[in-house]
Amino acid sequence: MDDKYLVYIDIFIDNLLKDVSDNSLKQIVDEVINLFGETFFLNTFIVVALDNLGKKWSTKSISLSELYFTSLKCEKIFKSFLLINKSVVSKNLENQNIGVITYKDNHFLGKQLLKFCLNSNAYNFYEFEDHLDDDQIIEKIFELDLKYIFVSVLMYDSANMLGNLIKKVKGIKEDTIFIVGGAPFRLDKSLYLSIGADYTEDTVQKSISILSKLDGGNIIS
Amino acid sequence: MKNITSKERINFAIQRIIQDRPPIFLLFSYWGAKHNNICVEEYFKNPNLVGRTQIELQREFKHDCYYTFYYASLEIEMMGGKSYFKEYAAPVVSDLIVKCDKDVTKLKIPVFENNKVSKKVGQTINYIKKNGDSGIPIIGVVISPFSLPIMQMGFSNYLNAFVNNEELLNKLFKYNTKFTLAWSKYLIESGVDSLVYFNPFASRSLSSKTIYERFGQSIDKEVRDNITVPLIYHTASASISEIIDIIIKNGFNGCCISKDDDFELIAREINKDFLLIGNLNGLEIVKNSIENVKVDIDLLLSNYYKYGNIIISDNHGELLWNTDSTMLQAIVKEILEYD
Repeated sequence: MDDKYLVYIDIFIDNLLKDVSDNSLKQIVDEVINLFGETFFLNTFIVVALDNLGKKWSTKSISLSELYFTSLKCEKIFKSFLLINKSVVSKNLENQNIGVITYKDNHFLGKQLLKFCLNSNAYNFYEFEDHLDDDQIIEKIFELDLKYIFVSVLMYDSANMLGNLIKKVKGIKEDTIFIVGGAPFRLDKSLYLSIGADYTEDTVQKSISILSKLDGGNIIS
Repeated sequence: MKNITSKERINFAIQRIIQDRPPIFLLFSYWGAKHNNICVEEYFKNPNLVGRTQIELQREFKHDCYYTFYYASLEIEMMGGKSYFKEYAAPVVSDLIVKCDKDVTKLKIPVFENNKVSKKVGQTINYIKKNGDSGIPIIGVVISPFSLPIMQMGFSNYLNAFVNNEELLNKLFKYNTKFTLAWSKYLIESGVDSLVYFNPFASRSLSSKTIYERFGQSIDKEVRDNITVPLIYHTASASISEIIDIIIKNGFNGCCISKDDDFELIAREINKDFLLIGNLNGLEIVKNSIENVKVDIDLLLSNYYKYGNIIISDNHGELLWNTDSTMLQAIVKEILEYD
């Protein structure tokens, strides 16, 4: 596949940001599918679009709310196809060992963005209830045998407290992977290491890309 | 120069008159619990202790304000919600109080004098007025009606409402504006000299230009037009550059600058009596060496003090728990000895 589709990515993102009607957006989607195929659209095009949106946000070209609205639309498009034909998406749907947590916080936006992107990348995941204490989180991790834990954090102090949870989990199951994200980790690039987490990335889509590499899977079919 | 009070120093700064040194705001909120060696929840249960701590910390660090901010979710508690306390961190909202349209109509404006949550802050202000130095301003904090829904509804639900429930938003903004004005009035009557107006959602980093111009801007103007004391705009370390012209036009008296803003450009271009507060990074204060922070302070002073209207402070609006008092002493010393 050459890079011809990248032009359409720009047009697609532009239209997402302009808040065009669902019908206009559908026309672009149909055109891309006609040219490149449905499988490519679902497994590559949307993933690259989400990645580009994340980059725009991390370089401050778009705001957090713009990132949210555009990601929401991508998820909606993806789910509408998924309802019709599950077979076009990759094997990621088989994964059941991913957990998503908002830690010590009630804002949930980071978790929501993560959910949009996991859905749009066709990953299954377990969403933790909010405000669980460390022991409850640990119990769930082992009960469900979760291996990859995404943690969204808003406050710096919460990020520091997360270190205790990671230590406890890894003390019992060393190969548990913590992928952390949120404002404290963007502002302080070495914070994830100091609390014992395994990975952090500036954008949600990049975090999920880590997952596909770790899992040995390739979301591009 | 003769000794001047903190209030005089700030007044000079507003008028852009270079004084003995720039004013310093050390914004101690939940850090006061650390000072007292108790947990955060325990600390905020005792309004006199909060007041006494502000006085003790001001005497220790010799900065230029008493800061009566407890924590952001306190306003949600006043509306009937609850906070979730962590031992060594700022509390956050524990339950969302606006889950559907009906919940908005249930919201009442508290009688602040009798509300057990708000009157704690009133008592703290009274304590400081009675026992503190009258030359030092007491600063209060209110959250903008435009940012309150993040805590009332949850951030994602709030954003969704811009798409699918504008009616709810308009009702909520109306309630919140009434709340903010009444809460401000109570704080002013209790004795604050000025107010910080926290509005992170107005920042271009969080909301879009369209959303802010359509909803946020008029709310800001209504609040500013109806509050009698100086009002400082604060985006809690998010960028402010793109809205600063609107903030000035709406009559705010100053704003806090973020690390993402071009301080030099803002300082140079603003030619009104408008305070610029910042621009210390709270995380760097925690992580950096004293030597590095001293370099930052020197840079800040040599580049911007000439403009006269600078107040040195952290740009988040509260110092982090891990902030070391030795570091704060070093910061103050560097500013006091600046020539």
